Amino acid sequence: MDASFADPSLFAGAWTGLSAMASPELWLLALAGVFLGMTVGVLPGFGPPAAMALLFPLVYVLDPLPGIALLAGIFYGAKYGGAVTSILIGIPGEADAVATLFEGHPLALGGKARQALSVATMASFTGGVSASIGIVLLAPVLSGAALFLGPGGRAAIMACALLLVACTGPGGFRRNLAMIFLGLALALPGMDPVYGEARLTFGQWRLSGGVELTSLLLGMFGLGDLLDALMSGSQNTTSERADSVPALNRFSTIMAALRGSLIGFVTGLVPCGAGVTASFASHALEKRLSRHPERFGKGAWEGLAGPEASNNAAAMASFAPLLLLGLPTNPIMAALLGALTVVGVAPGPSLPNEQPAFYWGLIFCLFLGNAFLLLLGLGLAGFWARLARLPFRLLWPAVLTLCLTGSYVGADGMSGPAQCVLFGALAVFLKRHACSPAPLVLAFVLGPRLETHLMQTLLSGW
Amino acid sequence: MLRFRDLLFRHTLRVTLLLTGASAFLAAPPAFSAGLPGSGLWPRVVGIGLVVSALLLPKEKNARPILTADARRGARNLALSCLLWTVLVPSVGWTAATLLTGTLACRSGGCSLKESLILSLSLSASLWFGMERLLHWPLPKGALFSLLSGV
Repeated sequence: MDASFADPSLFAGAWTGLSAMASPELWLLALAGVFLGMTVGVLPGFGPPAAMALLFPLVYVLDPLPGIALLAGIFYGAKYGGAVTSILIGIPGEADAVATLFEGHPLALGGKARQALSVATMASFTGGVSASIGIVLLAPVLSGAALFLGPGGRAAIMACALLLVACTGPGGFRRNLAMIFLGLALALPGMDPVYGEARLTFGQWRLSGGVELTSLLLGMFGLGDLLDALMSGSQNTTSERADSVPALNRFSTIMAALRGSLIGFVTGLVPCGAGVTASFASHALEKRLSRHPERFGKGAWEGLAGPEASNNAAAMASFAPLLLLGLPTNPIMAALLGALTVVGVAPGPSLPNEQPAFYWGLIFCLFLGNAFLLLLGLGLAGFWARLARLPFRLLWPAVLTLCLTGSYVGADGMSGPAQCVLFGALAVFLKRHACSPAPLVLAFVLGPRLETHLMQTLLSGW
Repeated sequence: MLRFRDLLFRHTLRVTLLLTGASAFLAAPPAFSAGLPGSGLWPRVVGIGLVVSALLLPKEKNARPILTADARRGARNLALSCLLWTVLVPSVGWTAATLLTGTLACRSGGCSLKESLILSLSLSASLWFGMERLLHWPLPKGALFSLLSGV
């Protein structure tokens, strides 16, 4: 075990991270990330993966820490956006926000929309901060344990992660397994990561660079969601009013948020659709613990605070396996892993030692981002409510332009938009066949790493 | 009795996955070179996995979704906008292509001319400012610009 990750370097690393936080550019970008994430997350028809995909190309033009801080902000900002649409419109941006809908929407219908938004914001903050503290405390243990793993162990962890995703994903085991293999197959063309030889390029030099991650993300989540919304007519608007009043002021609600944070943190460390599992588990637990379970489903505050805290805690906790094991637990973390590769950061157990400014800077950015989330969520509740009612006809040309321009920037050429359109069509095709694109994206990002570790293991034992 | 189009819909995914898996397996370089695992080993494993998982796919029970006229029009407009932007960017440049495609997309989406112009202008201007001025990322100016400016 690497002894240099013991306490002394922890304080030294934390100090380096704090020094990195002195940059005003970093604060601005963290704020911008949270704001942009909340904005895209609130827009009808778009969830956190779409938010991340639309703004992913920015990472190409920013320094590592500000770039990743921006993307991380977009992630949890968009998660909060999902809660806003769940509460106000009754349509969750993604599965994680379904449990928020159970209590949040009845509260909004009862004229307590702003109060429900406030409770959701404060619960998200509680979950986010608790999980960030958890990462700081857990990091030395996780990092130390990961250092014992060789390439074989890492390959086994990645394979287990993919298997867990196949078992717990929304499409059913057999469909998810097919999507995982399709994702692995899409990662094949281009340069072999071990020998550096071109393969499966079919004599086309354009294919030697392989499939662009930016185009895949924008196509699958940006253009795919847009095309799906246009074809299924699920463009939603709301006429709910966001009424005023107070916030998280009951002891039972605070306790629910803390319990939710713990559930979220533990499940967030495991690749099994953590947010959904955590939020449903938290809702069920709150109902069981409540003295008035009959109020659940009609607007129980504990039932709103618990799942919302667990949802955000799971999102934050998923940074630990990403940074310390290089293991993404959901498609958004897979995109972040791709972004880390783009900016030249190698996630793994030695990251806190090799790049302490980046690692600790990002951990502090998680705290900072949660504070921004609280400020923007509480301060601009009325604005989010109005934004959620924006007509779809005004949105889709903007999303289309962002997708095409973003994929152009990602690929630095016209092959990006072409791939983006192809993947958009593929996403709709897969959804029509009840297949979720999430396992595909996860496998696409993990594929080259899994292959590298597997080949290293085979070659060392040959 | 199933109609041919419904039958086709039910088997398209399986056939697509089978073909992809078979291509990955057959077009891969040799699995072993000089007695060691080569660069073709992993593609072959993935190819076999894809073929097996395609065969294991559950039987499609859903019928082919019927698209409404609005849905068809929406998808067509989106596809046309993508095509137009992709064709226009290399020739007239990013700014003109985005402005024109944005305006046409807004119009086809049901916006008024005023709304369309304001939206596409503000979107193009803010994206151009963000990319070119703030992030210093050059957006394509197009062959026409190069021709006119003599570059």
